[in-house]
Amino acid sequence: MTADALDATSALPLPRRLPRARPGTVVGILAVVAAAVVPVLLGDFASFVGSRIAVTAIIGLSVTVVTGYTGQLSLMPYTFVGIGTFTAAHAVSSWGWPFWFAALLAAVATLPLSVLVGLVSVRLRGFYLAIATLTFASAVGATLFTWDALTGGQRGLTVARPALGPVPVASDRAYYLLTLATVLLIVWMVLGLQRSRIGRSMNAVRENETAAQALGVNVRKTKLAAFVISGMIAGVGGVFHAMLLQHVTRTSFQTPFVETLGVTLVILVVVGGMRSAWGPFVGAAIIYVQLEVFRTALLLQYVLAALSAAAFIFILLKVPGGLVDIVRHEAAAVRAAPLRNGIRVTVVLLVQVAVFVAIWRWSS
Amino acid sequence: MSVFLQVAVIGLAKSGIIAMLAIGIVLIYRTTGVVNLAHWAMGLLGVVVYVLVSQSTPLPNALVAVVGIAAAVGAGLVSQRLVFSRLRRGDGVTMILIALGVGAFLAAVAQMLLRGQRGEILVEPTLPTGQLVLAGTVTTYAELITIAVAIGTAAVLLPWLQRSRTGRALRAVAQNREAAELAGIDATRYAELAWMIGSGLAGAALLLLIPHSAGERGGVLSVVHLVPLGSLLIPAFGAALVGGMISLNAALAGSLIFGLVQEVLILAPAPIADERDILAYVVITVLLLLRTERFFATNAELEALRA
Repeated sequence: MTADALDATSALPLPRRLPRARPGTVVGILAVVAAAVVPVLLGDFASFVGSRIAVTAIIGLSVTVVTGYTGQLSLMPYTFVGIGTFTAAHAVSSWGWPFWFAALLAAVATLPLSVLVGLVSVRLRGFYLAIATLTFASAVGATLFTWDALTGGQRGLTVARPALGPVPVASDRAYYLLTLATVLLIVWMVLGLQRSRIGRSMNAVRENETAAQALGVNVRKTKLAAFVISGMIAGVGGVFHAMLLQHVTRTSFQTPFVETLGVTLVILVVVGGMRSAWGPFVGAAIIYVQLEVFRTALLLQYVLAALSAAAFIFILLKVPGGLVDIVRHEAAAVRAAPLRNGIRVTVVLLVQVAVFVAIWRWSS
Repeated sequence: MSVFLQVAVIGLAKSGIIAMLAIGIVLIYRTTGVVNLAHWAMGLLGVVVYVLVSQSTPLPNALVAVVGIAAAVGAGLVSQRLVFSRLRRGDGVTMILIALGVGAFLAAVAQMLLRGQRGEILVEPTLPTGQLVLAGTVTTYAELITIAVAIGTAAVLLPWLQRSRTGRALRAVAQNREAAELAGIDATRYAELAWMIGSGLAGAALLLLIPHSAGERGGVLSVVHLVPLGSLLIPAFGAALVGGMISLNAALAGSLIFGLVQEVLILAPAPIADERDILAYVVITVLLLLRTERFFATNAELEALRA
């Protein structure tokens, strides 16, 4: 914030009572209701896609905490997902544990590795940490995930969807509502984290480690907390991942797929908005809806992959806040000048839709 | 003895490929400060162009390989011009993220170019296939030529960087960009040159590796290769880290560790032989934790890399 902006803020008269509901809140509630109702009405397939988006958003939130909030680049989110996945598969299918206990166990099972990575992150910064996490991902893939007793060997493991007490969630629609509720819960928790003392310490470490230390932030504890929280979120994501697919194999958690999945996830989170808890949800929704709409056009999937990588680079260079920020900015612009900016935003959206339809027609 | 020789030749060929990747990584890092996580994808683009051209034209494969290398060089140059030259230095995390993005982009382009070809794609060999018996050891021409190419590259490139005018300019840019520019060296041009050499070497390395991965038939390009971060990228970074991402000579020594030593350990007693990969990962982690760069560069040089 510049000095002028600071002056302007301090010159404003203090409101007597904080405003109750902002227009954003109303839009947010409507969006959540729509997200819950639309896929369920559209049917099983849409609900499956919806669950996939919600599960990816859960896993993406682990990136938000460690990279978006704390500025530490970890390329091994799917290693934690793998730990959560196989732990839950055993807890539910082999030992008959109830669902929520299995989820809790999966989160706890990520602790030894996340503490280790957290400790390493205290010593390594920037690309050293990125390469260390790549190495760890490969190493865990070559050791823990080659253990047949854990992963079920080449054939993998079958996981049944849970029952929540008397309510079964085996159908795609019911499972979607469960994952959506969970991702909203975790978004709420991550929003709370950002406002908390530890969350503000994380932001301080991201902006300038030395300055944060000078202000009395315990950098070591903060980084450790970031990795532990992030690992637990990814572990819970793993539980939902296992039950979404209902059959899991170890290949996707081994080299080179574990790294590729990690890179794709980071791209999706940055495109959505790395510093907002809603970012992973937005990024996952945009990318998976497009992938499903254009499922029959194989070439277009690669075009989409290239486009999202290009969008990722553009966003990093020009709009670090990602789509969440762009939407906020445009919404503010439309509120300020509804006619002019409303028309502009509509035209831009229509052009984008037209471009996609054109590519779709050309490639199929 | 002959078993040892056989393993040693395989290990040396692997070292050669790792060395060519590592030299490119070091050269790009020293000259531009970019940790090129897109290195595999740049080479991959060269391989895909090679596959497409060799399928559609009757040109000799060695000539087509040159076209492939040129494509990798182009990928490096375009990435530097369009993306990396616009980066603010010193913002480490953004820089790595962007390198990952470039890698993902190039891998997607590679798959786009292979439109219609799914699964495992047969790749014609760039070198003569076939085996030969040398001192009682069965080796392949491809392995021997790979070793020779890697040694040749190092033997030409290192003295050239040390002595030639261009090589000295590259090193000047690496050591102190500002002073180099004041001395009349066009840092932008030399940054582009480093990218071109580095990505060309990545293309050459993958064109030695992938087209010979299936023995007599040639090679197979599969989903394992068509990713932004290929399997040999981590060992290549390991080799580069032996020299703190700064020293080319030490990076060459490092490539012997992750190629030759790792292969030869297959002859070691059981626990060591079985856990060779894990040992390599442990070595890389230790190298990272040691922060090897401080052994090879002065503080001023490190400041210059990050500023």
